[in-house]
Amino acid sequence: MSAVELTFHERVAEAVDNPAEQLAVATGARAKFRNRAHAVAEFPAMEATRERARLIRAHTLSQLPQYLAQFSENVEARGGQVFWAQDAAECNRYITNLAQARGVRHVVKSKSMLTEEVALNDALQAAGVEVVESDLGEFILQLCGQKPAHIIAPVMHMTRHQVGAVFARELGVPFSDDPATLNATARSHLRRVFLEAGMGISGVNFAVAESGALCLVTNEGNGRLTTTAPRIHVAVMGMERLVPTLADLSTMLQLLARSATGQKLSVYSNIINGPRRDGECDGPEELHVVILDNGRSRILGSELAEVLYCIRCGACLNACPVFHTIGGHAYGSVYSGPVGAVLSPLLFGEKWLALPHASSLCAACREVCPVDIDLPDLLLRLRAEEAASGHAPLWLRLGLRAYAAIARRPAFFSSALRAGRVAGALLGSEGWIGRLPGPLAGWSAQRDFPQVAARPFRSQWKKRRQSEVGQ
Amino acid sequence: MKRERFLERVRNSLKAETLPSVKPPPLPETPTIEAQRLLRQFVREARAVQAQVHVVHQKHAAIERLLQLLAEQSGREYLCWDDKWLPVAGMQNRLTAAGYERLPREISGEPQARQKALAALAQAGVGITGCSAALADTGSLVLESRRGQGRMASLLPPVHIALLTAAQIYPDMQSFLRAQPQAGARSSNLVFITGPSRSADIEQTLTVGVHGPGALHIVLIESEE
Repeated sequence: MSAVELTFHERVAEAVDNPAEQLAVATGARAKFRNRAHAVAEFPAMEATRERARLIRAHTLSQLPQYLAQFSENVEARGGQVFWAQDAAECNRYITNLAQARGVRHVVKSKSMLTEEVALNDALQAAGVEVVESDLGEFILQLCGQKPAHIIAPVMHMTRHQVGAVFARELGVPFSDDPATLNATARSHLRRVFLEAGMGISGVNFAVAESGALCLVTNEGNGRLTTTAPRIHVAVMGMERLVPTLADLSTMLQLLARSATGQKLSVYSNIINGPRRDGECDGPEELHVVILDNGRSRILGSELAEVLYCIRCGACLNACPVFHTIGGHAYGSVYSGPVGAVLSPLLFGEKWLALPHASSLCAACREVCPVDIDLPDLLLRLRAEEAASGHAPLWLRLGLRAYAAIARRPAFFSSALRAGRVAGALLGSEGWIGRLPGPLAGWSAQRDFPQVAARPFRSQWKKRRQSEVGQ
Repeated sequence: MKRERFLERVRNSLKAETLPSVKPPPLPETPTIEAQRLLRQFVREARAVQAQVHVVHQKHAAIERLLQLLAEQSGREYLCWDDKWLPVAGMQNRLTAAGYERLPREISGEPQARQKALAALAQAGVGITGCSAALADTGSLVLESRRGQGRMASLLPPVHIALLTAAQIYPDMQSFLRAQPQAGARSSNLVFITGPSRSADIEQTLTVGVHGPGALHIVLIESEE
């Protein structure tokens, strides 16, 4: 069953019903969270770099048309081709047509969340082109037909035993749960894929306007192989990926790996300046850069434009207590965690408006964000939008209206408190109510509700004031 | 036309002026670091990311160390940059004399020809390269791809041996880009390599050699003689 057929609450219920997966995600996310904290503690310039990065992102986006034009001219000057895609369909059509026109039957991919967003693999496969993911995690997911559980650690939810079972079943190798052995199996299997592929498709971490460069960051080296071995390289980028200069890129790279995995720099920070040049012995002969809007210009014109600063490091997922509890799949969207809860309704529409509720607003996400996106504020704005558009459930709207009517009138309020105290005394004991009645039962299913105090705060306050005056 | 329509939509969105447009101040200068300290920092950081650093004092010692490293590998085929891009003269002759075979490195032409060339290259046990620079703060090597400097030598074989001189070490990426601004675009590919290929996808367990080399040796030559 696809994720969207279930409601968000049903997906969450499913996720918390799976303690093994829940434990795997929480353990993985917490490990990454600690690694980041360690790396940041060792980097005295962190705060200054973060401020600079935020300025770079804001400045670039505020001047985006100029930088996009400069970038595309530089790509073309180096012999690359630029395609402007308004939406997912245009993006997928261009790449599928290109593959068919060049007689490409095998495509190898390096990890790209954007291609997940537009479901590029489905489009290529429907056109008869075979696609193989080369990132170890994405390769495992492709073998077992699953979606990424985390934007930078796609198989965070799986155990080594599960991966071993998938490899044994799908690749016909003897079972092993040793990560080094599994890694070697993937390496030799994917080597053949790289040799056969007529086209390599990659995402883009950053694009540099002043030089037309694409920057791709990987640890495994699949990003380099994907963009070197096949004859054609297609890079797919969201239009917000730009930075003005190489110096700006170096600022971003100082933050990306530290925030994502706690490394100072990822193993391969790969900067591509067009296809191979005359006299070079290797590298792709064609480079195509697809620049995608897919709703981003709409976000850019909204009060929530700040979310486009995101550099997809995943730090907010690792910091989020809700993500630890429900994992990436429960969000149901390509983008999970706090940033996913903001991006999904903005990119994919109203049916994702339940996601901004998946937050305790503790602001841990903002604290770790390398570009200081005010995620709690954006989440609140989306909740307000949902309420204003009448998408909140009827019981919630009526309940809140009733509450407002009572709370505004002191006499009503104290009678309601008295009623609550009586009801609470009947339902619970020793300060707690274990089970609330009727429509409130959902609240107490996972936790206790406090009884109303025997003496309300307001009367305690009044008494205190009186005794102070009396002294 | 298509581009204009795309950019027009972006321009229209920006009319809402929701974003500040303050230009970030220029990057502060990296303080100069004394050569010996720079070298020690680079060695420490490179080792921290599982690179194996071999410090030698002179160029002739670099060749000896390289031959030792080659002797530890199985197979006699290697990929290599042209001599002119290596800090040590006459490398290919020395390796040929020692019985090693340099594989042809041209990958081009029709898909079948490419596939055959790639398959042949994949037999190499070792790739040998020079470097454009190195970064002390992250222990990274900086490699470019130009005529005679193939990408595959640092990517395809299970072992990568890079030759580096102490004078090539910069404090960080910013100081390197400032000193060699043309490095950003003079080659079709500029890559910062920080340790051997690795993955922690499976249960956060670190494994090396996923797609790129599982072993990275850096032969670091202290003196220019």
